[in-house]
Amino acid sequence: MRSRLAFVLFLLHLAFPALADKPLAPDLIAGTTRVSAEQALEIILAHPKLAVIDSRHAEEFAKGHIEGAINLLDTDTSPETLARNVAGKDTPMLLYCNGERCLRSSNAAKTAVKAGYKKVYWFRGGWAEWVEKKMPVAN
Amino acid sequence: MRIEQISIKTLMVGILLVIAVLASLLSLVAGAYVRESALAAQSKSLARIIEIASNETIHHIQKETTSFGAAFQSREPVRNALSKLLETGNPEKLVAQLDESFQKGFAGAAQIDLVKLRVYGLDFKLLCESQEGMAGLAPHLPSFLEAKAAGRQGVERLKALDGIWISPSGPLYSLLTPLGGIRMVGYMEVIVNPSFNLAMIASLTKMPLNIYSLNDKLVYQSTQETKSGEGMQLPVEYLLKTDNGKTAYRLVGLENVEQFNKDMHKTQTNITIAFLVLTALALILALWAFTRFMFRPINHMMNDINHYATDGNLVVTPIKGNTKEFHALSGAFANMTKEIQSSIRELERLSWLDGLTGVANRRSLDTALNREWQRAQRSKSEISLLMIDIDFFKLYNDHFGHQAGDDCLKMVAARIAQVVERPGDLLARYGGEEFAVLLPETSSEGAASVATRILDAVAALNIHHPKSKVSGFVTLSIGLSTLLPDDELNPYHLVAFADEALYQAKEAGRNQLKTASPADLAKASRPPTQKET
Repeated sequence: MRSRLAFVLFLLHLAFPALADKPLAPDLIAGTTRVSAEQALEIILAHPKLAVIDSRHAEEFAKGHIEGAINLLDTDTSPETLARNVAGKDTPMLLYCNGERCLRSSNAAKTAVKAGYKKVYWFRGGWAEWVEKKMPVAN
Repeated sequence: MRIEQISIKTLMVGILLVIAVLASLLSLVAGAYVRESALAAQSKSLARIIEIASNETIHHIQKETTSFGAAFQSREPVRNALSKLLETGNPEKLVAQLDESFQKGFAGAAQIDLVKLRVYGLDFKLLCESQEGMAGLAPHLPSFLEAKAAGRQGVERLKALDGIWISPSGPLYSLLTPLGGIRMVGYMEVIVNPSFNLAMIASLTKMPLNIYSLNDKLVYQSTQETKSGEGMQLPVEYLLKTDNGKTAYRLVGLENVEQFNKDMHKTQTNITIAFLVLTALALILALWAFTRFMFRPINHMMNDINHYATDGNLVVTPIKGNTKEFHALSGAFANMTKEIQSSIRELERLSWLDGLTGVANRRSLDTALNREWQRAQRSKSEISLLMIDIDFFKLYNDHFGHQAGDDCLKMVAARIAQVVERPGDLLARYGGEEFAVLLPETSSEGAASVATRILDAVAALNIHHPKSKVSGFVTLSIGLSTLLPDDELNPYHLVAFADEALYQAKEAGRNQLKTASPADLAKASRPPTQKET
């Protein structure tokens, strides 16, 4: 009986990762530049060729995103998919996801750095910070 | 009533009763105060809840308005109309698009009550506005948005601005959002009526809520009926203010405090009862303590004193288990009593002695005589008395002075005392140079023997007495009487006969012993007369 209950709890634990203490995104990722919402917007305005990559799910992306962003889920992020969306290794790219409780953009950023991209900007605060600061929203 | 008539106990009880009454009043006041503070605290925290719900609601409005703005801009016809306006300066198409939002509505619009849509240039100059919507709004940016927008630099200019403001027709909510996205070409202002969303506050707080707009115009009233009676509804007020501190809405929540009042009343009653019980217990304890540690020792000591006053028996009975003060007091009392007792004993002892010679005095002799007479009467034994006189003592005094006379008396007394050594025998100074020796249970012969030894002993002192007419030294005359007490005789007979015998001894030439003759004893039946000497 007890072991069955433990098993149910274990399943619940798997089903609701939010119930567990979710790990935070790393503070810094080697090979990337961490930016705030304002810095991100400045970079977007300053670099016309910048690739903005939204690492979230498509449904979240559809509800609202940073103007000009490409939706590329972190699990789909690979040297190949990156090559399709980013012009070259010297082309700057900005990655974001939901925020500090989301590990998608950090994973994607690591993949990008590994793939040899040299100008990787990581917007750690992500969508939460963007909306909080009332930045322009596109959908 | 005079203070002398009030006992400390009564006074204590009075003071404690006053304290009890004050404590009860205090508990009532404290209870009322606690109730008021609890209500105030309740009200404060409820107001805080309404405030949080209000903020949440405003946040909701902002989210919905932002989402509406983004959705509106992303539509193709809107983009085209905007390009047209920017290229030609003709706002017609854009106005049509703006109006369409009112006529048809689309995603997101259901969540807000759209009032007006306006488009501004980068310089915040009005380019066009919807024809639909509220009429009579001044054709420019609300001043608070203008003030907020002024002086913003760089990307800051891209951040949306929002807030509640007061229009001539009531409070409105405006969101100013960049037009054209990141590479903005102007601004769009979405104006909505926030009253539409305020019902959310009631649903969030889950309490009956009335919302008043300007001039106390009721804009929302929750449908929940209030069943409770008068005074059971605690009105909780929160003022929803604009950016510049003007009241836009007055939110009055009605919290049912019936249960709270009941609980509070119960608590108050309990506190009062507890207070009274505690005070009563304290009163009883205090009375017990006063009685045990104060009144009882005082009464105890008073009893001792009264005892002395009634039967002269000065005895201090020890009091055990007392407080420090009474322990010290009873100790001091005992010491004082002891001191007095020993003083009395000493005085008593002195009162039975002759001050000069240290032998018993006349008073002592009288007492002993009576006592021994009675004893002799009971035991049917003889009792003897010697009356002793120093011969020519007046001449001795005249010759040597009174100092020497006193010394002579002392020496003679001391010498006689050496002879009279049997327990029960008593040597007393009878007065002047006269001594008496009481010899209980002694026959005439025994007494004569004692008398003879006294005569010899004093003569052996060899006290020079040149004026004596019988010898060159101090001598004695002694009269002896011996009686067997019976009903017809009394102690005075013994003295009188001894006196008579002494008189005869003097008549016979002094320095000798004379025993009362049977003739004298025969006179026993007649009452004794005091003899002049």
